[in-house]
Amino acid sequence: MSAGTLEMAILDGILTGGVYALMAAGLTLIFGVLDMINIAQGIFVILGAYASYSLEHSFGIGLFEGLIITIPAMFLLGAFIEWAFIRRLGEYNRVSMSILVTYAVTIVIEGVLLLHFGSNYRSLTASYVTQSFHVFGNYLPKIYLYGFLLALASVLVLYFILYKTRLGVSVRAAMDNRFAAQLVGVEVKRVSTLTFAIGVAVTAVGGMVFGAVQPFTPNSSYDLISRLLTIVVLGGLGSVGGALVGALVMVVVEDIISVAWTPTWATLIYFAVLVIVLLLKPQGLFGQREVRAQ
Amino acid sequence: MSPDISHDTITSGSETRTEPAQILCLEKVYGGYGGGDVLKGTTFTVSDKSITCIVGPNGAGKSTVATAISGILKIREGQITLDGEPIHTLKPREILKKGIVQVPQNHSLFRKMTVEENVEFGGFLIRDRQQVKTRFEQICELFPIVKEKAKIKAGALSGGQQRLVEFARCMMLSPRIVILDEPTLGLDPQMARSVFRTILEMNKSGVTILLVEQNARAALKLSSHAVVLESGQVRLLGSGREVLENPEIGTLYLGGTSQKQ
Amino acid sequence: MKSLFKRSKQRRIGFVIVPAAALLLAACGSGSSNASSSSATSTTASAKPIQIGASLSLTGDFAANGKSFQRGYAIWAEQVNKNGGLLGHKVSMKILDDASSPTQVATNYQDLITSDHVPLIVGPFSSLLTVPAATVAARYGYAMVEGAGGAPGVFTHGLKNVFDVSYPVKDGLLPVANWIKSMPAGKRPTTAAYVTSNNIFAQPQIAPAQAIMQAAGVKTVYNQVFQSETTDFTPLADAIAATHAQVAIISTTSVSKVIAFVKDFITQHYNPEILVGTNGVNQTAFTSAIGTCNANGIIQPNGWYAGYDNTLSHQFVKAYLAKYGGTTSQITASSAEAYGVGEVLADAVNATKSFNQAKILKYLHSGVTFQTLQGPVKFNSKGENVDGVVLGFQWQSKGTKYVQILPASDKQSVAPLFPKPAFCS
Repeated sequence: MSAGTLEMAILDGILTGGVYALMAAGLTLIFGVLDMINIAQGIFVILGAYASYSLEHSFGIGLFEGLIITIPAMFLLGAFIEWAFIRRLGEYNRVSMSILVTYAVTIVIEGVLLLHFGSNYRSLTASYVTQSFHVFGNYLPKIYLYGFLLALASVLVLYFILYKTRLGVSVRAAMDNRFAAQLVGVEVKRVSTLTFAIGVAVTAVGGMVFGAVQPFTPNSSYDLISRLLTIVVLGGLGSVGGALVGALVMVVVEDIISVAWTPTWATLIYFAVLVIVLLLKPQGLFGQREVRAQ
Repeated sequence: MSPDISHDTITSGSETRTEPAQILCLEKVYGGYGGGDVLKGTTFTVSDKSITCIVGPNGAGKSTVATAISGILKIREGQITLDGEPIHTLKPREILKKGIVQVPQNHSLFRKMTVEENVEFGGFLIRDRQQVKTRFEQICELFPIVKEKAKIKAGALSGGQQRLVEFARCMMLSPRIVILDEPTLGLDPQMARSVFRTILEMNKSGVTILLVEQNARAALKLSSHAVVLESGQVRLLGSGREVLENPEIGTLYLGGTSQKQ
Repeated sequence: MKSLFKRSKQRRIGFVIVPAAALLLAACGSGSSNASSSSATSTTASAKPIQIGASLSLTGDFAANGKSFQRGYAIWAEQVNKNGGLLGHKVSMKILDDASSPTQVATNYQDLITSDHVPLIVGPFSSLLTVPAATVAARYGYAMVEGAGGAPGVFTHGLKNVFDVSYPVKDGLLPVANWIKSMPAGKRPTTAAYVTSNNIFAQPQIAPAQAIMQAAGVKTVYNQVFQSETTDFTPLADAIAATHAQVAIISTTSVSKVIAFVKDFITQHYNPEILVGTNGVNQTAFTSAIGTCNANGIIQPNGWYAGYDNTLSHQFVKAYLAKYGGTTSQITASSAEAYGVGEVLADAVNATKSFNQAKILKYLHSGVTFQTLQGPVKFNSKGENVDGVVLGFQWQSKGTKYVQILPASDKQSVAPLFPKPAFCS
C-alpha cells in the first residue's frame, strides 16, 4: 500500500457513501412515517438509472439535466404506488404485509424493465464519467465528486423540507408518533403519500449516480436493497441522520479494509460491525425503536 | 334526555351554573372496531362547562366513546351532535377545529421533541406563528411545568409530567371540550392528585371536560355529572355524588377500584 | 442478506422460454406427443421429434453469455434438423431460465429430466452453475456435455458425467503468461498486479499464469481476491493504479466488475503496458460502458472467434449470420462453445446409435477425439478437454476490431499492440 492510498480510499468511501446515504434516507423516511419496509426502493433506484439512460439515448438529454424530468416522474410514481397499494395496508401485520406488497411492486417493475431493455448490462455514459480531477497528487473521478455533491444537495433539500416547512413538521410528527400527529390535526394520510413520493423521488438522483458509477441490469436491485436495508438497520430504522452515518460507515469500512488489509474480508468486516452494533444497541446507532419490536 | 341531569346537583367543578346547556349529544350510537359493535345504542348528553365522568367495567366501551366523539372511530349508526350540529360525519381534523380535543389513554407526546415543541404542536392548526407564541405563553402560566422543562425532550419526563404536558398541548387550541382517557393510569397517588387538580383548573377556565377514569371514586368526587356505561349502553345517569352514593353501582364498579388505588 | 433475496427471487423464475427452433418445429406441424402424424409432412425425419433440455442464464449476471449460448444451441439444432435430425428424430431445444442462480439451475435440470423427460441434456453457462447442474444430471445417469464449465472446481467433485468441450479454465491466462515470458529481457514488463473475484471460474486462472511470470522475473506487486458482494471497486482499482504495475490482470465472471476496474483505471490515468480481463472484455456492454476508444489494447483470452480457421467454424459462422444477421464480430465465443457442445453430443449419439445415456457416457469416456468448430476435443477421465486450445484476443484499431493475437506462433494471430496505447479520455 503506497502513501496516500488509504486517504484516497477514505475519500472514495465518503463520496460513494454519500450516494448510498441518499438512497437509504428515502428508505428510512418511508419507514418512519408509514411504518413499513419498502423493498421496492432498490428497483426504484434501478428504474431511475434506466430513466436517465432512456432520456440520454432517446432524446440526448444529459444526465444532470434529465433529473429535471426524472425526479418529478419518480415522485408521481411514488405517490401513485402509495395511493394504489400502500394505503390499503391495514394495521395488522403491517410491516410483513408491506414487504410482500413492495416485493410484488419490485417484480412487476423488474419484469417491465426486462421486457423493454433486456437483461444485458447498461451503463450511463458522459464525458465526465471517465474523467478525473488531479488533487494532491491523486486522481479523483469527476463522477464521484459530482455524484456526491448532488447527493449532498438532495440531502440538504430533504433536511430543509423536514425542518423548515409545514410538511416537514408534519412528517417529523408522524414519524415520532403517528397517533399523536393525528390528534393534533396532522393529515397523516396525505403526509404518508407525500413522504412515500419524496422517498421514491430521491431514487431518481440515486439511480442516475449509481448508473454512472457501475453497470446495471433489471436484476441489480436485489444486491442494492439488501445493502440499503443493512444501512438503515445500522443507522437506526426511521432515523435520517442514522441512514447518512450508516451509509458512510458501510462504504468507508469496506474501502479501508480493502486497501489496508484485503478486499477478501472487506464485506465480512462490515457485516461484523453491523452485528456488533446491533448486539450493543439493538435499535441501531440512532434508532429509537428496536428493530425486533417492529 | 334524562331527568337526572336536568336538575343540577353539582358539588364541584362549575358551581355557579344551574341550568346548563347541553353542548354535546350522543344519540343511539352504534359502532366498534372490526369484530362487532362495542357501543350498542349509547345515548347521553354532556352539559356545557361540566366535568362529566364516564365509569363502567372493563370492556364497557368507555374509551370507544372517546374515540367516537373525536372522530378517530367512525360510528356505524346513530349521531353525535355539537350544539345541535352533527359531527360524526366529520374528519378528526375538522372535529378538532370545532374545539373538541382528546388526550388518549396511551402516552401521545412526540418523544423526540422538546416539551416546548410538543406544546406548540398543539397549535398545529393555527397558521399564524405569532398567535401560537402568544397562546404558548398563556399555557405556560396555566402549566408551570411547561416553562420549567421547555427545552427537555418529552421522552425524558416522568409519566405524570408527560400527562401534564399532554394537557397543556391540548389546551393550545383553546378547546371547548377536552376528552381525557384514563389520565391517572399508572401514576402514583400524589401525581394523580396533581393531575386531578389540574383538571379542575382547566374546567374552571371554562373548558368542558369529558373524563374516562378507572380511578372512579376519585374521579366522581370532582365530577359534576356521571355516566355509567355497561356493555355499550348507559346504565345510569346522574351527578357525580349520586352515582358515587348509589349502593348498587358502588359494589359493582367502585369497590374493587378503590381498593386497588 | 444477499442470499435471502437471491433465493426468493429465484422461486418465481420458472418460466419457459421457447426458442426459435421450437417455433420452427411447431411450424412444421408436429406436436411432441403425436409422432405418427408428423411423418407425413416431414420428408427426412420419420421418427418422433425429441427435445433437448438446457438451463441457461437468460437473466442475471451471466445473461449476456447465457443468451449467446441460447443462440449457439438454436443454430446447432437447426443444422441438425437440416441434415435429417438425430437418428432420424427432429430436435428442438427446451430452455429454462435460471437467472444465473446455482439453486435454480439444479431445479431446472431436475424438471427437464423428471417432468419433461427430455432424452438428452446440454450444459448451462459458467462453471458456477455447471457443478450443481451436473450433480443433478448424475443422479439420473445423464451425460452433461457442456461448453462453459471448465473451471478446475468442476472436475474435483468426482462427477463421471461432465464433459467440457472448451479449454480448461485454469489454462486461460497461459498464452498471455507465455507471451510475456517469451519477450526479450529489456522489453519484458517487470511488475504485475492480479485481482480476482473469488469464484471457481475467475480465481483458478491466476496462479498458473503468475507462476510462469514470476519465473520469468515479473514481480507480483499486487495480488488480491475480492468478494462478489463488493460495493465499491474504486479503492481496489486505485490501489492497483498506485502500484504502477506494468501488467494488470482482472479476473471476473461478470462484465460489470471488469467495467468498474477499467473505468477507474481510466480516471486514474493508469495505463499498464498489458491489461487483461478474463471475461466480458469482448461484450458490447463493456465497450459501450468505457468507450470504444478506451478498449483499445485490452486483452481477453478465449477459445474461439469468428475468424477462426476451421471448416466447421466457417459453417457455423455462415449459419449464424443467416439466422441472426449482423457482422462476424458480433458472434461471441459463447455461441460457438454452445454449438461445439451440440457437435460432440451429436457425434456420441450417432456413434452409439442410441439415446441411451449409459452408452453415450461410455463413448465420451473412450478417449476418442471429436472434431468441433473450436478444434479437436478429447476428454480425460475427469472430463476436461486435453486438446483444448486457448487463444488471446485484443481490441485494436481504436477499439473497433477484436483480433486474435496469441499464441504468437499461430498463423491466424496478428501482432499485439504492445505496450497498450494510453486511454483516450
